[in-house]
Amino acid sequence: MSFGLVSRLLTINSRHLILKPNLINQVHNLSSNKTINLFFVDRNGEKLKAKAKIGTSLLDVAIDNNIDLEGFGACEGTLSCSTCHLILNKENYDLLKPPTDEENDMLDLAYGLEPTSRLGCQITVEENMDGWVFVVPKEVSDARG
Amino acid sequence: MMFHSIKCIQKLRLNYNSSLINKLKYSSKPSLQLGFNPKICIVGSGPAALYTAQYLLKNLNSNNIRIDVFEKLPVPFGLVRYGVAPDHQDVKNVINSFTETLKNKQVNFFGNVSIGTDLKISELLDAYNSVVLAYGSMGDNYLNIPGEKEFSNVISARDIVSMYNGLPNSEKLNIDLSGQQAVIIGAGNVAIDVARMLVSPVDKLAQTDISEFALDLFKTKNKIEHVSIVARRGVLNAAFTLKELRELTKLEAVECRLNAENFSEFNLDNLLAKLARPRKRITEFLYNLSKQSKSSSPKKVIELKFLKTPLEILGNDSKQVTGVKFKNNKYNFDFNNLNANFDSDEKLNSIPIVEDKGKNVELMSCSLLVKSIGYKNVNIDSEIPFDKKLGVVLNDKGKVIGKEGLYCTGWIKRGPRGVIVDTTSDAYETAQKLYADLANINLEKPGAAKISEILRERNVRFVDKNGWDRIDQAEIKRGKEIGKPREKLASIDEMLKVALEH
Repeated sequence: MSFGLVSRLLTINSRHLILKPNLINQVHNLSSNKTINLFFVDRNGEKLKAKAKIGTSLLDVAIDNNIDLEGFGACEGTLSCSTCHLILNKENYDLLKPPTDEENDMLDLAYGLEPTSRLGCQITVEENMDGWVFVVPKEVSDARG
Repeated sequence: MMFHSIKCIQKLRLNYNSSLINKLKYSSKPSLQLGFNPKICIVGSGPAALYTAQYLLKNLNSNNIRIDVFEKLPVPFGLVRYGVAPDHQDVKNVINSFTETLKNKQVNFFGNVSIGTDLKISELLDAYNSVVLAYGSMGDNYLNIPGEKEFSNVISARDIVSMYNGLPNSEKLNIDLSGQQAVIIGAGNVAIDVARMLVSPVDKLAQTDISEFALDLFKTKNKIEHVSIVARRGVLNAAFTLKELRELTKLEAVECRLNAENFSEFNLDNLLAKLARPRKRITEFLYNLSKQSKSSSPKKVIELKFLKTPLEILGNDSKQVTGVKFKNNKYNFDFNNLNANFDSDEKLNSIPIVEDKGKNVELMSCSLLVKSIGYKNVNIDSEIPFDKKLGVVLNDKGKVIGKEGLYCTGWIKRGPRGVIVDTTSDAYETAQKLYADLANINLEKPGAAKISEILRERNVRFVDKNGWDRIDQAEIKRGKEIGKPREKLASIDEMLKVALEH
């Protein structure tokens, strides 16, 4: 179990350590060592291959594969920033469970927001994602300029 | 057991992020090759400064780059340490990556050094190949209305934030929370932070890094029951963001209210259809909030009020604030106009707002008045080209216009608004300008060797990385004794003592 994964599974709420509900899937999948291949397209348009462990998040995948993405994952997957913003194609986007309100609230602040945008830290790798492509948006500054 | 768990989580996060930073160093792209060893100076040590440092380290690491980070306080991290609210610890996770950046042997830290007084910009430009201004926004905006400076308990949001975040000397703030009504003028995320801190259950705060002074104040002297957050403009221009608003509506024992009249002039469906997604979601949320009926059980109340401009601050014979007079505003616009376009905040913010002469001037009573109307940029050295009108350093995508070798990033570059994602993108943009210029020069500069000498000559007691580490460890140790992640040192003297005397 990677440190990053454990630190994001647990959160402190009042006096309890709570297993974050939307990451419970990751716990179930951790025993499997299966990996699939995913692709990131960085801001320069370069397509980068990544070996993704089932049950980890896309943030974990980017880190584990040394994918060179500026400023990615600043808040360490706690839905407190939007730096892990990725764009999917419509087909794949529709296959995912829709974002929660909390994820949508942070997506609202992301640059280059598309209808098929997601936050990488909230996407859990599953077997059917083999070959999926995730695009890092090119825009680095807000339309506000 | 509980605190041990918190320490475990913090350690795990630190390990997580140190692995991230170490991996970021080994970029898949070859870094820029220069013919010399660049020496870079960064003024400030908050997110803007340190994200810029991270990009420079990543892309210039093969050139034996040296980055010297200067900070006015003895301690680094800027608003992440002194601005982000104590109950938003997750947002502070970025500190882990900043800590790793400071640990890098190619990075030096010079704390307790005030650029503009201890060192001049011209001296920095002499000693370094590039100087990056990243010192944020130190000034406050003023209402400039009668009574603003006359009565006690009229306080800027910045001062309250500094107080609960333990900024040195902030405990001297003369603030009285014994009355029931607070009014906050301004409706951005800082206003929401202050409102939330004023009515949050105190036991929640006790396990954060809130300052001891503020915790005691909130525990024993806070009688505030009703907070009004008052915006000059209307619901379509709400400056706060949905995450913060949502959090406010979920607060235990607090009711959030919004008068439905704020939506009476709109056909909601037509309006929502024209809005860009972020604005659409928050507007719909506000509409639903306005439709909720008041709860009958006694709770603390936060009320959002729109379209009001403060005219005058009132007080009693003891010179304490007692209330604010507001004029009412209205949108001067036909929202039934089907051709109107609202797909950006720029367009919404250009809808004219005028005084609503059909409504009387309103008096809001309060025992505490908070001004949360934004920060202001300040020029720290006359040699820095500063645009007074725009309130930023004159620059082209981060390259300062009219001063070779000078750059800027963060709020001092684009104005005092924005969150972490804006800052990372901004730092990326400024770094590109540095690369472009460094590729065209070949000049060894003295850097820290020269600057340290000057500081010693001037008897400036600067805090280096080890000194900061001593302060950091002391704060964590003190916090551990009382179940907090840290107890911040409360004065500059105390910080210097811990940092320098060992």
